[in-house]
Amino acid sequence: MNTFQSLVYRLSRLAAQLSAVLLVYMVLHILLEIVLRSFFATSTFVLDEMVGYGVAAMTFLTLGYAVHDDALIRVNIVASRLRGRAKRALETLCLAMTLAMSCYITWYMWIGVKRNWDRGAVSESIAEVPLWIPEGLVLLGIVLFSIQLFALLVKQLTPVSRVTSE
Amino acid sequence: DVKWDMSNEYSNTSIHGEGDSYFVQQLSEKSDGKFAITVHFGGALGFKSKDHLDAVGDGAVQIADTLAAPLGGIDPIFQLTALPFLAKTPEEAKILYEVAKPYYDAVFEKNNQKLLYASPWTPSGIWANKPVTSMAELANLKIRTYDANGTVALRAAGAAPIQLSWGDVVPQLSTGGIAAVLTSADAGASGKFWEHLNYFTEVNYAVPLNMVHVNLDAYNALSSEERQQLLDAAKAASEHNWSALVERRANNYKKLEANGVNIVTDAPVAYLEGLSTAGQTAIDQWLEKAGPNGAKIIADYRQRLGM
Amino acid sequence: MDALVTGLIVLTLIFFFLGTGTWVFAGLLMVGVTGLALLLDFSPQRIGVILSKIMVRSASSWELAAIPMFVWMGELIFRTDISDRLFRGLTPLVNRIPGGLLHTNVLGCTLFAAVSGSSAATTATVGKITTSELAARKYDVNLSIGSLAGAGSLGLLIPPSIVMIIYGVLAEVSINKLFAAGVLPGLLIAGLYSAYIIYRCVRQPELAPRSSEGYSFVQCLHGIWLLMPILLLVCVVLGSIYSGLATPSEAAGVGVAATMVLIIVTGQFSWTIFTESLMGAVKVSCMVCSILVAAAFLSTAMGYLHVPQDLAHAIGSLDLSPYVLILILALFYIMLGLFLDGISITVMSLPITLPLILQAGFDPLWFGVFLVVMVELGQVTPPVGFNLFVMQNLTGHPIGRVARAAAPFFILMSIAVVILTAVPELALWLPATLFDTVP
Ligand code: NA
Ligand code: NA
Repeated sequence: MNTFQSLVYRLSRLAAQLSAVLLVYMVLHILLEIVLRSFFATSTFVLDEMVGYGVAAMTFLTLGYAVHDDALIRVNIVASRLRGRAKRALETLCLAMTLAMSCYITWYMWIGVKRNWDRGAVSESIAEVPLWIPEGLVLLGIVLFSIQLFALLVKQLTPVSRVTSE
Repeated sequence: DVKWDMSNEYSNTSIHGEGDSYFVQQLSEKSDGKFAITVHFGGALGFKSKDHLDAVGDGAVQIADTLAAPLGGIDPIFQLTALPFLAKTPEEAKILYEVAKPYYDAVFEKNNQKLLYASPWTPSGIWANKPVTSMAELANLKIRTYDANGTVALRAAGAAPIQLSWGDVVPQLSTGGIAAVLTSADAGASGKFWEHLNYFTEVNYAVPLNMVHVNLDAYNALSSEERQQLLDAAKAASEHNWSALVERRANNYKKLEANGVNIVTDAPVAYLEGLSTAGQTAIDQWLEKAGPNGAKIIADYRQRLGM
Repeated sequence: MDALVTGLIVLTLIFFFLGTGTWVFAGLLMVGVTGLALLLDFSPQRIGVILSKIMVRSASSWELAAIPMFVWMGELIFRTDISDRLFRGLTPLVNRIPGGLLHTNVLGCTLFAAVSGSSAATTATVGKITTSELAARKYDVNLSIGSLAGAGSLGLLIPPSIVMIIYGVLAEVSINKLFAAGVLPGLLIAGLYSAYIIYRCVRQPELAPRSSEGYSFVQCLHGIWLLMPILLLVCVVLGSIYSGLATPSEAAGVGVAATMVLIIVTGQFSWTIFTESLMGAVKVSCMVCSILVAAAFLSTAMGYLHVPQDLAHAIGSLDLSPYVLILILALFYIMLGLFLDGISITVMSLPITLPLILQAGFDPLWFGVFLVVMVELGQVTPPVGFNLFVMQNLTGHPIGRVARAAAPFFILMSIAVVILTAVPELALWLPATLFDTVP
């Protein structure tokens, strides 16, 4: 079970590292655009499009890593007053609800990505980016997030003794 | 009673925003208030024009008012109204629309929807700090374009097209980051371009169209009486919008003049023909994507114009 | 008053889903889904389509891109001696002022607001630099959190500002004049905050421990020298905007690059700092952006429920006198601000409220500033208040405590709204002076 947990976490971290690469890319693209526009009177013509894809991919690809590392905000008014089994039950409920929501989103995003793949839809810019690529990255992020939630749920449902006995 | 939601990316004071309000009001009158459409202006529902084909097809909204060109990546036919210097006046745009209507209908039907009507934007021209009435004046002009066609055409004409998001246009104008903008007098007026630029040169670059389309399931669920009310209101709105264009442009020009903008309407014919030649580059690229249908539409259109 | 009932139901749903302790962004999505299913009887298929499309669309946003980049800039500053120098530099300068380094929150946010167009980025960046330093120096936590949450929202009022650009486009008001109009009200609010900090610390000096030693003139000069790196960064970013090299949205990229150059030149660059700052930045911006995306979906749901439109229509039908209208609109915007983000509030309400305002004889330029302050108020009100979320993330304190700490600053901002309404010249004077001098 521990190997499953750590494998999933390594996947999540890998996706977050991809996000970090995207962030570096976004900064570089902006600098390139400024230089081209200011000194060469030209443009990459796709800055807001590419950076837009970058932000979307970044946000979703980091979700799994962020949820594992407790970087996503939650309101702990009730949970902080609970102890023992009640607390575990509430945590399980949160994980289960979020996992259900995440799977629901995954399904409809999958339909969208598949449709854009099938009909060969591209962006309207000069780059004509196939739309399944940026949407596919978002989908990948949501899928990895679901897997990470599932792993956390399994950990939550595993009896405490087995988790602590490394 | 029927209650629909309509998505429009543009504000309620834009030419299509006002057209939507007219359409909704007509429909309300014809149905004694039983057929109500709530328009969500300014993209308040969260959809952009490029989302509308799927949003309407999947029934996320029943009806939408959509700038056609951004859908060009899904089907090239939607790029037709954005082709540079093809339809130069509202009259020509209407003829082009009539020629292409069967093809639009087919695409919309394939996507589980029905095209109700289309209506025009005011023609785009060049906003700058000088009249742009010759190729020499256009040469190396740092000009913001709004789509790929404009980039291709203006680059072919020797200008230096720049791509910026609309929100960045005014800040860049005020700091001199760009020198000119390719857009309509209408859009320039809404951005108060006269604070930075004092010439609008009418080059009749293009007359883009917005299309109002409705989900086929929602449409089929209407009674025959309601369907008739919808179609009647659409017809009235379409006529209203095409005739509003003339008045809108006159008002825009009055507003521009009141704010010290010089409107140049007499660009030399040779220059305009030169621009058309440059625009042909974009049209050729489009023809490659659009296949035999595209070629047929252009041929039929040129025949209707007597060219 | 159906809209009011609908609004209350949605609010209840928010309290329920966020109350279970689920992640805020997931909770907001659940509220939207449940609202559409329960109140409008939408099918799961229709909701799924709307949900997936809105999430992709709202995340793929050029305007959003400034957030991860400014956050990264903050992470870099935090991990190098720039932030430490900021504090050591300000210490002799603000030592005589009651409240001491607490003023760095207000000053820092005001400075940073002139660089960044969003309040989430302002709060996160300045907060990253100041919270741990202030806590280490035993400053009062409540005042520290509250002043940061309040001052962070200046990011929207002091130019450049994303919300102002959106308002300018929708209301056809000059964006440059809007930017100018926001400056004095922004400084007024900053001044109110500082005055409040002074007042509190005069009454309870233990809130802000000050070193007993006096600082000499030379030490003050040295303090200014220590501030050079941060001032240099602000100058580079501002300079890139006002020279026309970069657009306000691109300025974040310039900020990161300038910070990186500074770190390399001062010999502090290391691969560890680079990767740790990046991973920290993607985590924080994932938190902020995912909540913004969820809030966009909630706004869409509210749009389908017609809540903002119906409420605004109801207000319009009351036929109120100008000042009563403003009062009611203020309450209306505070209510929307409880659970919507600023851009959504602006876009959804404007088609109805703007005509009312014009009819009542108010200047649309003034109303733009008024609206931005109302949006800022929404940033610090629970349950959905972005600055509160950011502060919760930075300090680890529960949202209730953060919200209570921010409450005095909410009141101060409300006082600023009253002043702004009584003295509209506060907003209108600067743009008139700058832009209308030519006859
Ligand atoms: Na700002
Ligand atoms: Na709020």
